Order: sequence, then C-alpha cells, then structure tokens
Amino acid sequence: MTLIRVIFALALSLIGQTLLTRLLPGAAIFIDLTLLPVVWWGVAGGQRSAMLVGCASGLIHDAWFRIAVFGMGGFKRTLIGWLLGGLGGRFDLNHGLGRFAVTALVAFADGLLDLGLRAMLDLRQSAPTLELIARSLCTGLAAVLIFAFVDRFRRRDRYSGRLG
Amino acid sequence: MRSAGSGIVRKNALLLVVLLFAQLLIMTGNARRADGATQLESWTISLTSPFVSISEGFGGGIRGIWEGLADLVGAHGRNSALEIQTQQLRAELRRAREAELENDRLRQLLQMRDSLSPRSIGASVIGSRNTSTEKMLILDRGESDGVLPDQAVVAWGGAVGRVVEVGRSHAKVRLLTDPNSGIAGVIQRTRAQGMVQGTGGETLDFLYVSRLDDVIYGDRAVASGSVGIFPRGFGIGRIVNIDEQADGSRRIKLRPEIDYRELEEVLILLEPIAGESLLPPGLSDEP
Repeated sequence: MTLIRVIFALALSLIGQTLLTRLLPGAAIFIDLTLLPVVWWGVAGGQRSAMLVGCASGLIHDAWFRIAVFGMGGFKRTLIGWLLGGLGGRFDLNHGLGRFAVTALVAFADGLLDLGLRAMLDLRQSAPTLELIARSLCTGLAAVLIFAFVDRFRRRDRYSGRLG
Repeated sequence: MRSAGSGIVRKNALLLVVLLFAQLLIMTGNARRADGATQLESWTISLTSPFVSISEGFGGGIRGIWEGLADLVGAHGRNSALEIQTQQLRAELRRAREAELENDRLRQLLQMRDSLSPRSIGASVIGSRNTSTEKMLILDRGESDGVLPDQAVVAWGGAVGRVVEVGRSHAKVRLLTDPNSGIAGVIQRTRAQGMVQGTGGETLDFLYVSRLDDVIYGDRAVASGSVGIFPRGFGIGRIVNIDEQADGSRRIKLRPEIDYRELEEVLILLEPIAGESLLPPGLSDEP
C-alpha cells in the first residue's frame, strides 16, 4: 500500500512540475514540486522510506529536468531523505510552520548540494543566491498548501471509511 | 528496546551507504559516456513518460482553451483588417509564383543544387528546465529518429541549442543561454567575430570581440558557422549592452532572438552543416 502511495505521489509531483513548466514557465523556476514527496515521507514517514523516496525522486528529477550527470539528484536527495527522516523522528514537524521551515530548508540544501557537486564536477555555473532563496521560500509555501489539501483529503477519507 | 532502536539506526545507515554508493556508480558510468543518455536514464524516462504525456495533454488543453478565449476577444475587430491583408497576399502570391518559375529556370542554368536545406526533423518540446544553473529542453525525438549528440536545434528565427543526450525516443538539448553553452558568432553588419556564451540568465555574453571592431547597440549577432555545429547566418541575438572595461576589454551582452520559454516545436538538423549558409542564394547574410 505504501509503495502505491509513493508511486502515486511521485507521479503527481512529476505531472504537477511538468504542467507548471508548460503553463507558467516563469513560476516553474521558483517551485520544485518533485521535492515534496521527500519532505512528506521525511516528516511523516520514516528514515528508510524518506531515503528511498529521495532516491527515486532525485532520479526522476535528473531524467526530466537536468542535463548534468545523471545520478546527482538521486545522490543529493537520498542524503536529504536520510537527514530529514532523522529529524522527523526526533521532532514533530508535521504542522504548517514545521512543514514550511523544513521544505524551505530542504530546497535550500538541495540547491547548495547541487552547487557543490557541480563545482566538484567542474561544471560552469552562476551563483544563483537570490533565485535559490526565492525557490526555497516558494517551494515551502507550496508544500504548506499542498500538504494541507492532502490532510483534508485524508481526513475526509477516514471519516467516510468510519461511516461505511 | 534500546538495542532495537540502534539496530534500526544501523540498518538505515547501511541502506544510506548502499544507496549513495549506487548513485556514485551511476554518476561514474554517466560521466564516462559522452555519446548520450545512460540505459538507466532512458528507462526512467520511458517508465515515467506516461505521466508527462498526461500533463502535456492536460496542459495543452488548458493552454488551447485560454488562447482560444483570448483570440475570440479580438476576432471581430481583426476580421476587416484580415480581409484587406488577404487581398494583398493574393497579389503577392501571384508575384511569388512568377518568381518561382524564374528561379527554377535560373537554377537549372547555374546547375545549382535543388536545395540548400539540410535534412532535418521536427520535434515537440516535452519538458524543460530554466534555472540559472541549467537551461535545457527535452524533445520527443531520439535515436530511433536519427537524432545524435551534437546536432543543432533551431527554431523559426534562430539557433536554439545543441543536442547533448539522446535516448531511444527522447533527446536533451542544452540551450544557448545555459552557462555551459558556447557558439561562434559574428556581427551581421560588420562581420566582427566573437564567441557567444550562455550566462544562465536571460542574456548571452559576446566574448573576445576586438576593441577595434565596430559594434553598436542593436547590432544583430548570427552564427558564424566557422566553428561548431550551427549553420552560418542563423540568428543568435541582438546587442543590448556594451561595457568598456578598465583593462581595455569589452563586455557585450546579447538578448536572444528566441524566447526559449515559449518554444513548443523545434527543428533538429540531422546533418553536420557548419560553415554552410541556409539562406537562399542571392539573399546573403552578409551586409
């Protein structure tokens, strides 16, 4: 069941991101929806699932949204999933503010790791400080809204299940 | 209880090491290959492409409805203007037919090639990324369509980028604005040569232009065709800024001729044609 949920979440995040790229290309720079499943399983799941979701999400991101070395995204997000899963097990981050802070932090860390790995691979790049900060904040905001919607959907699902 | 907890921590740490090592292996394999996408990347794209197709279909529908509504608003007013334009175009068509016949006769006389157009293939954009560290497109054509790495990708109006990875049915294109992109360029008006390099932003750098060369704001840069993969004469961009540096050098900025964010269809040139002009005979790209 968890596997189906993971696949569903990853598919939805990919659909959302490509849709955003097609309809609002300007906004797509500042929101990374493919990061949200990693955050979700990081704060609400466990360390192991967060790592595996991070790995899958990173590879999908690499395949569809990158031309740099394939596997870089998987490497970054596996590490992020591990860290986030560890944090999620110690602190309660599964509320609005916690989700915002964690997602923004994770998006920022994702960007920094990207810069570091690119520098190691000797790839030419500009320093996207403002863009990275804006992307972190916007992705954090998107996470709050989307996770609130998922919560509502799950509550309704549970309630109708109890009635049934 | 404590030992069970530490057991989980140890297992997770082991899984982390295994996963990171696997990613490193993937990266190493990928770095060695310069000719295209790895098998795993192709599989990932094939496996997830149905979801992207859903999104493309849905996005195309929404965009179509939006554009249809926008068109409807001004349709009535444009109708009369279009009627006048139709009359003018009919007259131009008659003249063009005459010119075509004349052109055929002249071509036979000069024993020229039937066409200078290279073999090319149209492709739709199925994905893109437009951040400051990376600017790329994913096209729906791949190895099975004859696409190879280092082929030029163009659109109506100018050069778009270069194919950098090819899968069975997809290709990744590095845009000219990507920080790792470069193309030999020439100013159309004065033939001043230089190197056009992506910045990761919305503009391009025009480097290595001699201080003695005549370049002014608004000049058009085109592909020189001397080095690289782009045919001569393809538009790159227009000069929007010239900064004279203290060390005597110049910093020239170009605004690309194409809005890469709006691209939906492009053309992949399947033949290496660097150095050839794609402009019809008689219409030289030289001033």
